[in-house]
Amino acid sequence: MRLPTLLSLPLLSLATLVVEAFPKSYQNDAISRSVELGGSVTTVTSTITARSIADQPGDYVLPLAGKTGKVPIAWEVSVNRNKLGQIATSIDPETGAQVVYIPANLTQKDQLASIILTEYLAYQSKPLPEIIGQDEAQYLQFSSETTFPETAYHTKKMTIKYRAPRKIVSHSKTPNSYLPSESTSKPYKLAGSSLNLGPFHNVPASIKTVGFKQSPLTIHYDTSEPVLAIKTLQRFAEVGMWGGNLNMEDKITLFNAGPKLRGFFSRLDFQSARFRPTFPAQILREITYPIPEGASSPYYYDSIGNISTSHFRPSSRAGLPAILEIQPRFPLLGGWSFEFTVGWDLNLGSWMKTVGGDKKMLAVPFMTGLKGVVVDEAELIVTLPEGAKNVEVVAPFPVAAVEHSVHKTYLDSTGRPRITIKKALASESNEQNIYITYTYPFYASLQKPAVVTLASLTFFAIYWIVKRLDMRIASASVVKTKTE
Amino acid sequence: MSTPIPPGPAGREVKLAYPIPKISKTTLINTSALLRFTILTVISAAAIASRLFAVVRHESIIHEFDPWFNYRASKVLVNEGFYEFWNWFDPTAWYPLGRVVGGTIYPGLMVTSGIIYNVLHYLNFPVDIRNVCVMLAPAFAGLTAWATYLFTCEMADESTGLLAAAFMGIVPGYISRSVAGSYDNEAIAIFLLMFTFYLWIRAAKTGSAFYSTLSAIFYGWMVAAWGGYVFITNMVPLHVFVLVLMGRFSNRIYTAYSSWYVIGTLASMQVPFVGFLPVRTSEHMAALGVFGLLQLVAFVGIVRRLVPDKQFQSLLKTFVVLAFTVALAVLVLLTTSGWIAPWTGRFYSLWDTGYAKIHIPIIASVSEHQPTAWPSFFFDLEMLIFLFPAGVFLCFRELRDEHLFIIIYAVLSSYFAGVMVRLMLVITPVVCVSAAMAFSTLLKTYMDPVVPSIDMDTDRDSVIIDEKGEKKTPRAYAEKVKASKPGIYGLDTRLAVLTPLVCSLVMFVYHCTWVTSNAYSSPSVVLASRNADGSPAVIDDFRSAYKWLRENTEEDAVIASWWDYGYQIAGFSNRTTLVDNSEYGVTHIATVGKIMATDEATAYPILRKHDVDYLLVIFGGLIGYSGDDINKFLWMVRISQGIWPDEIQEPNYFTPRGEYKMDASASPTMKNSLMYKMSYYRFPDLFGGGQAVDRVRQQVIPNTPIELNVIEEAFTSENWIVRIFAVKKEDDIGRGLPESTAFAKGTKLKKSKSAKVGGAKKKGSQKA
Repeated sequence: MRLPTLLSLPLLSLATLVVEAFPKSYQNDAISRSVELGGSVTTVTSTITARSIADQPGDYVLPLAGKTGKVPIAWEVSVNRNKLGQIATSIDPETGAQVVYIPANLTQKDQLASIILTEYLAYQSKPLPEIIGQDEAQYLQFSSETTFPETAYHTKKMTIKYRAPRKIVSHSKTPNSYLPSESTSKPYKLAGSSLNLGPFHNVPASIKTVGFKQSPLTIHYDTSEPVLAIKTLQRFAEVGMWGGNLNMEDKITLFNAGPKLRGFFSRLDFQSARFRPTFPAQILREITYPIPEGASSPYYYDSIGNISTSHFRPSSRAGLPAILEIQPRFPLLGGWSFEFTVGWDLNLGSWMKTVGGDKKMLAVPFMTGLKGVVVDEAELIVTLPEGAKNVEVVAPFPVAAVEHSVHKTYLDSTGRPRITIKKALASESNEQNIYITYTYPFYASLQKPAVVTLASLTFFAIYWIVKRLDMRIASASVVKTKTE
Repeated sequence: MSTPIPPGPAGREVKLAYPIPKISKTTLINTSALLRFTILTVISAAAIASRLFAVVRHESIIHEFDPWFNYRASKVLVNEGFYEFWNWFDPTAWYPLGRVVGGTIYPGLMVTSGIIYNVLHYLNFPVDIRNVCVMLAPAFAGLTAWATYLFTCEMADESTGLLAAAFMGIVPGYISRSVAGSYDNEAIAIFLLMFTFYLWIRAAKTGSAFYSTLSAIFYGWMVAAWGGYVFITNMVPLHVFVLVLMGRFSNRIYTAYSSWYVIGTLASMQVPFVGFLPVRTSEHMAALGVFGLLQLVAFVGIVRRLVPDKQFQSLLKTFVVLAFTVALAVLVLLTTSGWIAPWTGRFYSLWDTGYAKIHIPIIASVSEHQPTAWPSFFFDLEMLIFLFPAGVFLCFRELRDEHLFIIIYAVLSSYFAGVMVRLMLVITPVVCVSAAMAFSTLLKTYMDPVVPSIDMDTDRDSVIIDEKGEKKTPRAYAEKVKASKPGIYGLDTRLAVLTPLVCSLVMFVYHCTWVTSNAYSSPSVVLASRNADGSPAVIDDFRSAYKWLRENTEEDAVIASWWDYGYQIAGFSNRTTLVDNSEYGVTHIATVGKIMATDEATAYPILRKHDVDYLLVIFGGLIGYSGDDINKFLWMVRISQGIWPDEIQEPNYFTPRGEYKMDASASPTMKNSLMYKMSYYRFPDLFGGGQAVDRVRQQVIPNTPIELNVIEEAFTSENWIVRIFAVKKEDDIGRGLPESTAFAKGTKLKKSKSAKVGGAKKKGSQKA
């Protein structure tokens, strides 16, 4: 059966529909999965070629994780190269797996659909050894409980590919089931930085088959870049209607999540490492932070003042972001953290438009994604101009909380509406615009000058009155005679 | 200089050297009032602007050392409220003693900025407390210019006041302590000083209790803000005393001083740090004595009116002798019995500049407590220092009551400014005022367009008979008078004097700006330098290291460093320190000195006893930063020698030829000292076999590797200015640290193989 407007249906009725909507209407001709190892984010891309094996096959059931696998912090799906919008996930009551229903738009038997699922997993690789010296190589160990991609349908052919940034040192035993019996070759192929598994044939629907055995896998690999994570990211966006300005400020606590440093830091070794062929992978010297095109007057500081070691590169070509090259006050070694703030100004006109009458629509990017960096706690705090009303927020991905409050700053009388949007575990895929609509009538823009004018007039009036009051105890004539 | 032109006698035509436009009197008054206001505003603006070099060049940052504590205290005040601040006990300072901050500081500065902060926030101006602190000194400098104007107007006229305000606004002697970011007590104290003095003069002139109460209130604020309030405490009584001695006692003085003393003393006693000092220490006794004297004098005045003249003479004599003896006896008695504290050592050091060097090395070790060098008078005051005596002389010419004040102030502060560099600040206002008086007199004399006139009202042809009885025509007489009577006749004379005067004013402005820009506007936590291509660069080693401490050490880590850096570590890094800039416990400072000055074996137990986790030293040898710890090292040695004369001896740190050297010829004590080891640890390696030259001392550091056993290098900043070392914990299996270090390096394995292997096993099992 078909669910035409899945998005509009409440989740509960969806779940009840699901139970019966699990017919064997599809099979997978092929699944090829590619796993990018390295950093605190692991990107898993699965390309699925689905074939309908019945007329009106309905929605394609796509599991994001089985019972044992880790739930991705973010994911994207595209069907036949069309990226799908936000789709609610639901728990399959039968198997306990987290699934999404993909409208594959197939009507007849034996039609093909290409589904690409990109998942982002946090902290899937752990440093091993956990503690290393300053000049030692940095190794990570990737471990996963689910080697086979979870699927709700029978799969004819599966291939899995792991790609590490550098050499793969070792890996655990790879699965040897579902291999063609006539095959004499090894079930895996290890070549430098990549490990290929399979092809596996006729793999049953993993989440449906009772007793389906997933095989865990660990991969130990060398890295060339420090493993970074952001503990907290607070982005402040403030709309200035008078100046036509959108100020953005990111407060970041950067953390080197790689192996911890044994002992302490030696400046001498760090300085002489520059003359060696490879620079120690665990040391972070600089990060490049892309900021939107057209950004101006950037700044960079921390709790103890301005940081002079940074460069701003305006976007070289239309469409490209500007770059902030940020060098922390000290090189960031394993286990060290560094808290800082960067900010810049944007032209409000390119980020806000009027959508009929007094109604405005503002787009604010939720965060700036850095490749392979997990944000543990992300927060976007948008301050709208004083007098804005009927504030509504549309987020393109699920968020943990949306809070409204009032914030008072320079020359404010009634305060500005402020929206706080929170999300735990964000990654580069959350670099999307949050849309905020509000009404801002013309008279609201006059509130500030009116208040300032009134305040100054009151001040002068008081001064004028006080200046003309005679506050002497004795009257003027008495004082005069006395002094004479 | 809008002096109204005096009309000629009996409306006669006055001869003018140059034409002046005819303006009605009201217009003149209104215009000059507007001009005064505008000029004063511009002066204040200039005073503020010239203090912003550091903010423009670097950033809005708190400078130097002490301001960091004030800033931290202000943060406590605004974040946790007044009562928390008042009762603040800081466990992170002077570890493990802690410090009762509320009772050991002058809170006026923090309370002032706290009030400003809260008022601004109440009005929805969410200004950061850091910016309030940074901008406080320039803002108050603007107010000081205004206070100086008011003060000088009492001494002379408004045009002199404007000149004095302009001098005060930009004079380097004051700017040195009040640039943006220099958030120290002096930032507001000089304004309070000048304003208290102005109100006092006002009170003494009018005999108004209102002005003397105001003066007392500002005095109370001053007491809360700066230890230098003692200067006012003695200045005002001295003024009164001299007036009484000169027979200028009057009811005005009586009213003014009595109300000032009573209210001012009560106000000053509200500050916890001052408490009962105003009645118990010798520094404050002069004020009390003069208060008593005034009562006596007033009493004698009443008696004189009631008693016949003859009896009065004898009565007076007996009374004076009696009163003096009794007062002195009481004073001596109270002092010996301990009720009144004798002069403090700090006070003695004001009279005998050698005193501190012998008795209180801590005070002597501070550079701003050194006697002032002669050139610094010119550097800080430029031409004002030459005009200053002239102004004082002019005061003698008129010698009104308030002029006496200037004279006393001038004499006292000249002495103090010569004793301590720091007190240069105290002389600056009086120099500005009296220089302005001299300069203004000069300008007025030579700008006055009136040509001295000879009495010409007789007829042209009439004959004048002069003193000698000779008959003369008026023309000839005029010639003669002109030749003999001094005066300024032509425009050329005027220009000849005015041109150099104006030039010197311009030079003064240039000098002030140059000095401010080059000497006084460096935040000292950030060092400015230049890249190879000449572009400006910033050496930010201090903050890099402090930030590292803040982010990557345990929150309760204890940092030992020389006391100069205590406040900065607390402010930047928020970590516990052993000693800081408050000079609170000499023994503690000496302990740190001893740690730095002794070898590892002696220092280690002391380090462990004080729970020290990290040691921080400043080393400038790589880039030539001369304010480093090796250059301060002798003071550490001296101070700790004061406490442990048996263990630390200064001569041991010199070469046999008596030189202070770091190269191969350095004495063994020096080479074994922790300071030497920490500063030069792995320093020669940086030169890759070449000569390791210490750029501060221009000496070659020997290439022998320095071995550290009880500490290990933890962090070194980019230019090696800040070096942080971690103190090792005791060995897990009870070996000595040198042995365990050697074992870890594998150097002593062969010596006793079995024991070490056993040890290793044991260690392994412990871990498991």
